[in-house]
Amino acid sequence: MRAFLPAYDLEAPETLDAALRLLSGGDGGWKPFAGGTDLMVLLESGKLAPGRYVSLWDIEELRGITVSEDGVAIGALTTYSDVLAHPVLRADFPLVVRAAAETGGVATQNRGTLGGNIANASPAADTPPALLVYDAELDIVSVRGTRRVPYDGFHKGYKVMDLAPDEIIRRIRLPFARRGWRQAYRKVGTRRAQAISKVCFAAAADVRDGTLHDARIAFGSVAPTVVRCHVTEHALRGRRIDPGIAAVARQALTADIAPIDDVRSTARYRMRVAGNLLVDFLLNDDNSQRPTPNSQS
Amino acid sequence: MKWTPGDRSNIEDQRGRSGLRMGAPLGIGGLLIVLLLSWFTGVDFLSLLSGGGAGSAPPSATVGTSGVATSPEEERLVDFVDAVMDDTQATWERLLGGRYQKTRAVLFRDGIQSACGFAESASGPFYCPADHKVYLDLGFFDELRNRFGASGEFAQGYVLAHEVGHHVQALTGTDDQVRRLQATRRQVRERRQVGPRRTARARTGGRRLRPATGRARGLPGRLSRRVPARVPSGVRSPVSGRTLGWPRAPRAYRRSPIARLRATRYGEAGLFHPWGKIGRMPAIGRSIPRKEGRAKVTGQARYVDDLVLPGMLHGATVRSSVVRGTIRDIRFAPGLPWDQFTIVTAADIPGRNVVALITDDQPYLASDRVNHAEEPVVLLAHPDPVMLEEGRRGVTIEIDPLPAVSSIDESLARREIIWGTDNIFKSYSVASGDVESALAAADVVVAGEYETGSQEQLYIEPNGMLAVARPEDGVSVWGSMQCPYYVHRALAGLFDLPSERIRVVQMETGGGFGGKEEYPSIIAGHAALLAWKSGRPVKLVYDRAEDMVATTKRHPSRTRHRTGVTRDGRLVAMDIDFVIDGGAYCTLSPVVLSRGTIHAPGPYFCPNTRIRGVAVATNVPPHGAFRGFGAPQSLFALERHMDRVAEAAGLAPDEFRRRNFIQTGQTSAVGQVMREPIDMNAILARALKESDYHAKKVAWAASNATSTIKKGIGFAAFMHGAGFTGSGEDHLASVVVVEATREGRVRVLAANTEIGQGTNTIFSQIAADALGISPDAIDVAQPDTASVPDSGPTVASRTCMVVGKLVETAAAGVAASLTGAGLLQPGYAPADFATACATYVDRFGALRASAQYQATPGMKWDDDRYVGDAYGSYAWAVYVAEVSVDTITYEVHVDDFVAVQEVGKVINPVLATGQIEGGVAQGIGWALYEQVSWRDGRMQNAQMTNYIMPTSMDLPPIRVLFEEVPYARGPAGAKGIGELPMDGAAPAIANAVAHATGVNVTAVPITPERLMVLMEEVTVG
Ligand SMILES: Cc1cc2nc3c(=O)[nH]c(=O)nc-3n(C[C@H](O)[C@H](O)[C@H](O)COP(=O)(O)OP(=O)(O)OC[C@H]3O[C@@H](n4cnc5c(N)ncnc54)[C@H](O)[C@@H]3O)c2cc1C
Repeated sequence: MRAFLPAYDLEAPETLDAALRLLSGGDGGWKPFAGGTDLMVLLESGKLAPGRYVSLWDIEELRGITVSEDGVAIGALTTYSDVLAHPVLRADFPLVVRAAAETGGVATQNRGTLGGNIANASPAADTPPALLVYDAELDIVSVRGTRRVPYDGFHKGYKVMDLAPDEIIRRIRLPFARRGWRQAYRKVGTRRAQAISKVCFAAAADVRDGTLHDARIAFGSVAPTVVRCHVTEHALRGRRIDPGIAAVARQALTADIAPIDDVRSTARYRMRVAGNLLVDFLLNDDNSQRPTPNSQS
Repeated sequence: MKWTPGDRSNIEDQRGRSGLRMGAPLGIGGLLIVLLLSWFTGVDFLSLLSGGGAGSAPPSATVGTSGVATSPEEERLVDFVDAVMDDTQATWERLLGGRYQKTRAVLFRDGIQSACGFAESASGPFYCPADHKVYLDLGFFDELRNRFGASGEFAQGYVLAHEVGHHVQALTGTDDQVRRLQATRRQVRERRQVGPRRTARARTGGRRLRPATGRARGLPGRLSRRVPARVPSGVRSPVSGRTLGWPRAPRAYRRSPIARLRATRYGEAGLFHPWGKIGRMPAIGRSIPRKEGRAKVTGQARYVDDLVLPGMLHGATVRSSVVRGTIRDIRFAPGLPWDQFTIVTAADIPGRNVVALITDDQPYLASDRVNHAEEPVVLLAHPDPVMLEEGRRGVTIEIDPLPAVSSIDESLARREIIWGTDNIFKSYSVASGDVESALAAADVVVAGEYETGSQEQLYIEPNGMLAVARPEDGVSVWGSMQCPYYVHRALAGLFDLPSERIRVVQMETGGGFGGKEEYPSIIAGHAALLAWKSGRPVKLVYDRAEDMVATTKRHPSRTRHRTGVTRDGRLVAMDIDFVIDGGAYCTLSPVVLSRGTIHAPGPYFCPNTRIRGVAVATNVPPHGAFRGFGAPQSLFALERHMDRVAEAAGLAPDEFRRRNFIQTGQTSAVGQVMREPIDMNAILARALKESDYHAKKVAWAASNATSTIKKGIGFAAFMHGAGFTGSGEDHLASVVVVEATREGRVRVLAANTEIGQGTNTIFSQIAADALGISPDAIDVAQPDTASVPDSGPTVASRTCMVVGKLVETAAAGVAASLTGAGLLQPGYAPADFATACATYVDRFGALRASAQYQATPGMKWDDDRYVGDAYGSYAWAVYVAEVSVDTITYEVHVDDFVAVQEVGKVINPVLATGQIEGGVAQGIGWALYEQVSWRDGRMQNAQMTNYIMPTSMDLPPIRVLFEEVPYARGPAGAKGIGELPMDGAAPAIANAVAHATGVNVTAVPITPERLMVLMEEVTVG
């Protein structure tokens, strides 16, 4: 343990109000702490910023998955295990379920939350590409009130979000908009479990009569934030699915993603594999069924 | 822990009743052991005991009710139990849904009759599968606190959650699986399906942790329960439905030349053991459970970090952040209570500031110059580990940078001289015949260049030492290590003390793989310097990150080959240029280089051979010993190259090798006449047959054309010499002592360490058979330089073969003393041995014998010319790897692995298989996943998240097959085995990837990034 423990404080309020009041307190400096699966790793290695943390874990208002006619609303504290067990998510949002199944190990799945995965703002996070494909929206709350924002655009830059220091994510909303679309998710992380993505791919396409009518394409680990590929989606819309689509897709993709070399991989690999995954998705109809290595679903 | 009282619906309160005694109570000691066993193994031993067991138990009968006296504290505990049960069950309900059925915690006092029998309050919590309830006496929580030092709600909650876990096992039916599997010898495939999944696994000493066969045997008193140690043939695995049991050679191979060889050799060499004469079942050849296995799984085994001494300080190392430079100043941040710290710099060293090993170039603490990042400069100690970290952050070492060298090429270019006069630690040149003329005359000449990367050992327990050092008493250290006498020698120099004032004790050690060969001398020295200055015990234990950035790793290498063959595929010339990167100091590089050089031409005969080996200096932390010790590097190059030479010669890889394997009686490249029997052809044939090599090649040629997943199969043929190279063992002149007590117990005294590989167990088996008694009557002494002789380091695949032979000889000496005194007759029973010992000790005093290594007659080695008998024996092997390459992501997965090896007599099949499986797993890591990523001379991926070691999901079934041709100078015919399996996986996999993709793989690790570049070059060009 490399952290200097006396430099940390943790409060565990039981109501959303109490938590929001702490976060809004004039003295500032309170930060949310959900499942702790990102924060505890930082603490152990001595890299967690000293300060005061509000545990959200006991706040019932942040839990639960509610299903309505238009879609589902997922509490920010929903864990990966909750996602895996939910019948509606399994039926209608298979990419989120697949992402949850490929996250960490069982211990991490029991403790890590979707809210934390988003707000940790890692470009390598595994659920955000799936959330982007489903046109997710976020409910964001503070003592000042609640606002609803589209998730696409929430990440403004590396670790920069449309989230004020006194705000927290309350829930994630997913509309039932992808029924009947072809969907695929693939996490590329070199080993089959406990991997951090080098490239993470999620996509859905409305393909009828050999033509791609509409698509959602998102990637992780290929830009400063997870990205939805608007340029590529636009370039593909209305195209026939034939081998010629590959070059169009690869070309357009260079406008959407900006991979870099880092400790885990190279820009060249990420660009190439992102293109391969997309082309394979477009041309090989069976790939939405392709089993990914450590699937539990 | 935060919780709120609930409605106690999870509780069945039986505190007011006292149970009817239905049988003898379970004794407290035994029950605690059982509890701990349950706790650590996940098997509910309690549910295995007492009463009639599940099904046959009477319904719970209670008599009498007395009022309960309770207290608010106790009621709070009841609420706590209820809350934990509630939370745990809610979690399982979430995970299992409708499959989960609620259980309740039965609270009792004194004793209770459960459906599983009678239990006393001292039982501790248990789960009874017959009535599906958790039983608990609240008094156990006091026990937890007082006996185990586990205070606090976490431990209490943990125990409860654990018992609920058994409930889940019962509900899901996995409890039976676990129990049955423990009772059988399991094979890789079965294990994979029930073992813990998806955990990134730090390496255990050679094998993944698994319950040893028959572990439950020998529990105290009536708790013991016999589990069959052997699987009757034909028992089926409950999991896979496969037949369990030792993999045996198919009938055809039992009649192979190698089998005939084996039969005659046993006869000729007189290797029939005392059991032949005394009619006792030999211990050798049986998979008896690990000696220290029970202590390890019950948590009784003590590692250095378990040691706490009164007044002890914690130590930390402050390191250079610059790759190379001159130290200008050391600054201590204001505002920290520096008077509370013990601070040591080079100026405090009482003796020589040199880590004694081969060359005196490495300082314990840098004083004016640093030669690599992470080089130790300042040591700190403080009573509080949290303050200590603050202190470490508060020290700044100011260094004026100097130009640095970061690669083999830069070092050889010598633009900057960073070591000696030419950046070269050591070079060898070995030649036979006339290589240049033979190359000129060859029909085909193939050149190639190959590279291998660094690798971290990743033993499960990081390095650590505890030291007590005072000028008046001398220096004592306890810690994790492979070689107590290396540490001993290093400390004597550091403190300038006579050797009798230095004591080194090996604690239980969680793996080494070479990583605890030389580095522990440094940590021991650092801890001792802090102890010396502070006058208090100091413990210095690295965390994983520090262990990864600072300690030794495998030498990166570059090998160039030029090979000449005739038209009919016979090797006529091999020209090999082998370079390894030693890092900033010499450490063991000369010997790593030596082994790599000697193994470079592999198991082939070639009349004209020239090998140049060079170890160069670079400004990275020194590379050091790692399983295989240079041989995996040069054999990777060779075996990849041999596939290419075969192709150029128009021959199949196997046919080319068959034409060139070295045969008994031929002379190796270093001039060794191979007198021991060799049959590489038989090994190759068996490996190809087991892996279905030829049929797969044909099938995939068709299927690969249409699939994005390309399948490939490849193999490597190789050997590994056991023991120190050349005259090394003569210089070591190792000594082992065996002594017997009046009661007939026998103690083996040796400095060789148990590091997870099984030293304790095989030494017991060897001594037992030499004495004709049970291995249970043998104790292996804890390596402690104050009491054990110097039997040399635990390295170089020498422990079993060289030191084991000394154990055998010394034990035979004890037996001879007894027979010589007329106290035993040949054919004696084990009980006679104890009687004889008692009489002997009463009449003559201590009964002990020692054995010292004697040079093998006829073995010659010329240290200057580097020719002669390099190793007394070699193990021989062929490994086959089957891979899939995903052409979308360029990821390679090993799908199947066959490892056939001839290793002499196998002393303990389960341990030997574990060595092979572990070595292959480590080889797969090196071949595909593990890449030490350097930036400015520092390892930038020093975490297990970014240093990609394979998980159990990334490993194939590893099918381990042995051929046994006994070696007369090894105990019962055994050779060395520890390093061998590291050599074969990488070249076999590289050949398989080349087969799958058609690209020329020349370097490991074959990361997806590298493979992509290679495959793109092929598509483009
Ligand atoms: C062993 C291991 C394996 C892992 N594997 C994966 C993996 O495969 N894929 C992957 O994507 N991640 C992985 N992770 C990372 C982590 O588990 C996930 O990012 C997880 O979802 C984080 O959720 P949490 O609740 O634990 O977040 P925390 O650690 O509690 O918080 C993370 C960040 O989010 C903020 N935060 C949390 N909740 C909210 C909220 N409601 N509103 C606003 N801010 C909030 C916190 O302030 C903090 O900055 C792994 C972690 C570990 C330890």
